[in-house]
Amino acid sequence: MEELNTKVHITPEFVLKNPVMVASGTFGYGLEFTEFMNISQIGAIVVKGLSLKPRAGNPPPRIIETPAGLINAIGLQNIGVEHFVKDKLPELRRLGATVVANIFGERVDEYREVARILDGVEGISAIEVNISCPNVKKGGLKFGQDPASAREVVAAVREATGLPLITKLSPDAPDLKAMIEAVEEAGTDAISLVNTIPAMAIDVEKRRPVLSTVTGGLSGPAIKPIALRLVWQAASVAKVPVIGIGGIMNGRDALEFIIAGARAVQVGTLNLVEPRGAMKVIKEIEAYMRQHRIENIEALTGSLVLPER
Amino acid sequence: MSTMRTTESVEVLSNIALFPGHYRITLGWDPLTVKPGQFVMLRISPTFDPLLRRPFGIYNIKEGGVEILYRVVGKGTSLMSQLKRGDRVDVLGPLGNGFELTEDKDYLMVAGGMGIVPFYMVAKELLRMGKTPRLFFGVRKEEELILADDLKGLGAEVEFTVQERDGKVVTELLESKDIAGKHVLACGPEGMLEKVASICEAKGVESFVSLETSMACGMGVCMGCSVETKEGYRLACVDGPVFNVRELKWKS
Repeated sequence: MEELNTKVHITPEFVLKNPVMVASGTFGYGLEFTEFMNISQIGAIVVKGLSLKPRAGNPPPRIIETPAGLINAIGLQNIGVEHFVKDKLPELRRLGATVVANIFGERVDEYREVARILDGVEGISAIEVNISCPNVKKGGLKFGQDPASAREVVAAVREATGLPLITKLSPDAPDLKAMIEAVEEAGTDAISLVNTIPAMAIDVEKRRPVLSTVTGGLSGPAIKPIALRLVWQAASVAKVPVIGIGGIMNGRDALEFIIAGARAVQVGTLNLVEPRGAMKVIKEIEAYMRQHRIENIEALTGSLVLPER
Repeated sequence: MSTMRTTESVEVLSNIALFPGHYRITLGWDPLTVKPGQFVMLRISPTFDPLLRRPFGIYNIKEGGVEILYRVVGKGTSLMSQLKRGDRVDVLGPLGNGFELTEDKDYLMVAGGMGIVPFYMVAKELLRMGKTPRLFFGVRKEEELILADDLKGLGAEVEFTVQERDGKVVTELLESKDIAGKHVLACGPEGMLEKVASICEAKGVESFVSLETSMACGMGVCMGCSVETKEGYRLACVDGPVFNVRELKWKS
């Protein structure tokens, strides 16, 4: 058999060496993982969401485990875009990592400003626009539930940078099709979904919410079937490439998303449990390709065979 | 001192019940260096239910193995209590800052219940420095006193209080003593640590506490284990678990 081709094209210029990315908020700034693996072998590292100014995040408790899931309410704690560019990016560049900057703002002009700072910075391959974080009071999900607001954010970022743009969507958007059309019209190059699913847990002894913010975002294997359905629906209407996210814990999970129509995937919660998890997912996808004599991973995207009616 | 974190599958060498609900597990793991007060994240089951690793303080390092004491509190530790010799678990560690011990200081350890875990290694390090380890130990039930047997075996001076028997908790013991010039190291329930902090502040002595929080990754990535300090949020997993109480902002 010929050598495996695991390359995926998000845009003609933005090409990943394999379809496995690591999701924002689950891989720090990438450098936390250098003891465990060669981080240049990951398709792309989506770093922790960056805002214009550093953010402190939410008060504890911020996390609670639920059956096969994790609810988090971190609140986009981060060091700020300038600090990231100055102190983290040079080392990521030196290590040969493919870096996607996830960006967040409370207002449209903040998104624009963060994108402008990142534009033209060596070592940033793309921007992922987060309009779907459930854990912040302002911005975030507010933009991700209303197509008109989402359009405004993405258009502002588009205007500020020539970098490839991925828009990260919420599973909670009332009209996913309208949302995808809006961000496509605004110039996004790809969409990624799903962000965490709004969720909660209650301490029955105290009759209080477990998380300081009352609700948080659910991730992990518990959400995979829901995420898969949403990715499949998104892929059937989207004109731009779709990146599938939601509870991927192994190669077969990733393949489900790819077959459903995802060009690439992001593994998230797995990274918190298995620091080398993303590498394992890559190896398992390659093993599947060998076993099924698939030379080009892109041939699998959207290859779902539906029952005849 | 820097430590090298690893993640690897290791063998369970033994897993012994100490008294109801409390166990000592020995893992065939040989980390390069471990500081007293550091911890590991264990993955008990290869499935994803439970999903996350569980944090455990390192109790002791001995030839060919690492010992961990644990109490069964939920699904993860319940599964852990059923592990047998030859089973495998995945260990990530050593993690966290641990206790900073220096020759020129005089230390006093204060532990509540399972809060004794980090102090066996602290005591060994103090002995190595030529100091006599001293521990105030508070437990709820008399059966928990055996948790201090290893420390006594080392030659540590241990003073006890059993809440159900003596009607006194360890912070009352601490309050009644002259601890001038000591550096207090404490580990136990949060309420106890807060009390230790206020007693030490009132007596004008330095104190360091090892905090327990819920934790997902253990390596500073998820930012789930935030602790409120006077300089904003810090992470228990990488900035802690040991904090100088002067840095902390308590809930009450």
